[in-house]
Amino acid sequence: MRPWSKRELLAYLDRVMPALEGLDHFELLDVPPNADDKTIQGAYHNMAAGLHPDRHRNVLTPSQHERLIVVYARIAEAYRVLRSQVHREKYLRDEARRRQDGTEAPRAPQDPASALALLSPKAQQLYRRAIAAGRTGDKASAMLNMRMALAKHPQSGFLQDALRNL
Amino acid sequence: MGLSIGIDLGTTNSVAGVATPEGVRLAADSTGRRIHASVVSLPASGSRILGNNAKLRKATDPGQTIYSAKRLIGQNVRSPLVQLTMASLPYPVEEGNNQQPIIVVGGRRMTVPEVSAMVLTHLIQLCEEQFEDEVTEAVITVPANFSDSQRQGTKEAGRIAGLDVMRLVNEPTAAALAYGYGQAMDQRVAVFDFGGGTFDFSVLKIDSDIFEVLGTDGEFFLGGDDIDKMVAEFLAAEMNRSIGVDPRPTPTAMNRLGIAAEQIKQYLTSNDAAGGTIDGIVVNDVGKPMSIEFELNRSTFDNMIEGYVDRTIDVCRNVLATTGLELGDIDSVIMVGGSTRIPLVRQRLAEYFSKEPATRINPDEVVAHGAAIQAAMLAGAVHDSDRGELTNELAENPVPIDLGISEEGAPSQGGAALLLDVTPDTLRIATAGGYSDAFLEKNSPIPIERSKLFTTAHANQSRVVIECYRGPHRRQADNELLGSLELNDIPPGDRGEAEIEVTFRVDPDSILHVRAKDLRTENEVEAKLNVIGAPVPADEQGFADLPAGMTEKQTAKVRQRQEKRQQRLAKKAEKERAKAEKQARKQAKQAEKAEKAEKAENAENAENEGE
Repeated sequence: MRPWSKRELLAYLDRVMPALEGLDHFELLDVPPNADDKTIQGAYHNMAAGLHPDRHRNVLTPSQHERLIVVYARIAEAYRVLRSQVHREKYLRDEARRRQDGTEAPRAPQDPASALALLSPKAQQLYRRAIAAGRTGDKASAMLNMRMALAKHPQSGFLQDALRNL
Repeated sequence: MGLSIGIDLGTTNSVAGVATPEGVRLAADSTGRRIHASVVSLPASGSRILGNNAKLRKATDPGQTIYSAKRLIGQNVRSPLVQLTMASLPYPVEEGNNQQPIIVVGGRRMTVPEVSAMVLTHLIQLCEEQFEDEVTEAVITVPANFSDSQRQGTKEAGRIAGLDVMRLVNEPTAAALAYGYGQAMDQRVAVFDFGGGTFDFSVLKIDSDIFEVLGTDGEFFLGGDDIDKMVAEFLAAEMNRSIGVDPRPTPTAMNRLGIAAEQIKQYLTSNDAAGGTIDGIVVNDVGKPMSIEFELNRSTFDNMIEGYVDRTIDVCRNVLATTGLELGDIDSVIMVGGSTRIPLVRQRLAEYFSKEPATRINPDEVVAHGAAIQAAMLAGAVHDSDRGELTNELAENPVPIDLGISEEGAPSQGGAALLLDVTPDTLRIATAGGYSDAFLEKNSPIPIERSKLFTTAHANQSRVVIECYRGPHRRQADNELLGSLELNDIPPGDRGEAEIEVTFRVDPDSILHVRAKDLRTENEVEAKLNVIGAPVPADEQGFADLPAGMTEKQTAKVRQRQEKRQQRLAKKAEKERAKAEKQARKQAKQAEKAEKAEKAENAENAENEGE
């Protein structure tokens, strides 16, 4: 498994850091909500292989490295929760209650700016194109672009909603 | 550039080595031995004797020869187990500030990290002589179940010796790395680490270059030293029976019996019975040295140590249970530590796992191998291979260390390895009524960060104290208190109105950092827990106090290394500052550009909308 290049890593940090608070555990680990144990362990290994701070010690500046550790520590927390049936169920209950109570600001996917920030640059471009096409009434092109964006992030509730709203 | 070495800093013995493209090379002393006693002898003459030479003085100069310092590092002097250890040590230990142990030898008072730093200095010196380069940074291994204060104490020892401690790696994890490195395996392995002072058991999943620890557990005060002590007690009883002299109240005598016990234990590894005479343990009323005759056969020995072996198997059972694994899920069992040479240990282990343990790697050296490989991984460098000696098993079966990291950080084929370790114990936070909540359970992946919201217990509470514990129990008092942190100036309000976010962060060395934030006022306190028993940390930038009892030359050497370390740190900081400045300039430029582009786009949009 290949560590990410410095460019990939910095792009990822720029994308994820501003949205970190709004990301749920599934998004952080990049797994679907029904992922089984094996998928979750595989996803954690993949993320670790790509961006574990130990693999980028000499490539990043200390402050970039610090940021990477912050993000990685959150991914580890997501793994801790999702790999255990007990923790995962409690987490889902807490999340559901929080949303119902409305005690917390709407989660990131409802906020277009931060939800968008989570997508890869290519998907962001496709999303913008789809919205622009939608505005000009070119529904076919809008749907096509949005579907292409969704293909890049099949788990993105934000993009699914956007497609439905077109 | 200097050397990045791996160090297995053991209770009784230490090993240090360097990864080279031809495999790991271990540093040998003048007699060719690669295993060095973790002993420091400070004779009255003011000189300092280290390593295997110092070990010889355990019998002749017991009051001034320090061994098993690792059992005291980062420990609270007042804890019962430490009191018990202290009672059996021939050198006096006193209580220092923060309840840390202070070793007193020849009127000199030394902290435990200072003593461990001397052991490190010996290893560094051997590496420097053999590999003809300056040692600058190191990976040091610690028992997996080492606590925060023990880890901090070990890091402090490295700092005093003038090292950049890149990482503390858990011993069983290092052993697994040495075992699986470059083997492209997909296995679940169990590491049974039965050393001189501690016992650890870990289960790992090795997925080609990823080494993920699934679970770990261990026990302190369970190792070869304890077995020696048991045999020494047996000899003492024999002596009392046969010649009517009880050596047990005399530490010097018990020390000599301990040395004999170690030899008897080792002899029984390949022989069914040991017997003979031990001379000069005690003197009688008229000053005549008395000797004792003894006989110990394997089955009596096995009966003596059976309780210890049972305890190790219990730990294995617990780890498998907490990780949800079955015995059949384990593909191989790796043995680490000298105590795994005991036939009864091997036999029980083979019975329990229903498979023969792997013996490909020397159990005394495997941890240092792993440490050296991890040092190379972290340093991103492999050292010159023209020097030093290959260890036997690697000479036969060399494992090339190839990092192959390119400029962009993308390595070529294989070569890299990644350790994913876990917390050895549950980290807890105190709650009302003397209870505690698990914040991060045992075997949580590290580095990790978790935040949770807490609130005040009564109205108009202006201050909260967050107490952190380590251990499996709900009741606070049953766990080990790690330390506490205070958040003040909470604005008045009803009970439960305050929102206090507490964050536990465990760093890659498995050391806990806690911060608390009042979400309404944005007040934040962050603390590295002030851990009881830990060395009181000196100013990170300042020079560490030098260990006592060094010759002028040695002092100069360590001082030089410390100075160089300062320079490196300063250089690093300067580089970082320059880079940050450059980055800031770049960002400013980009922002300017983006603003321009946005303006242009807005204008365009306005035009479009106007159409």
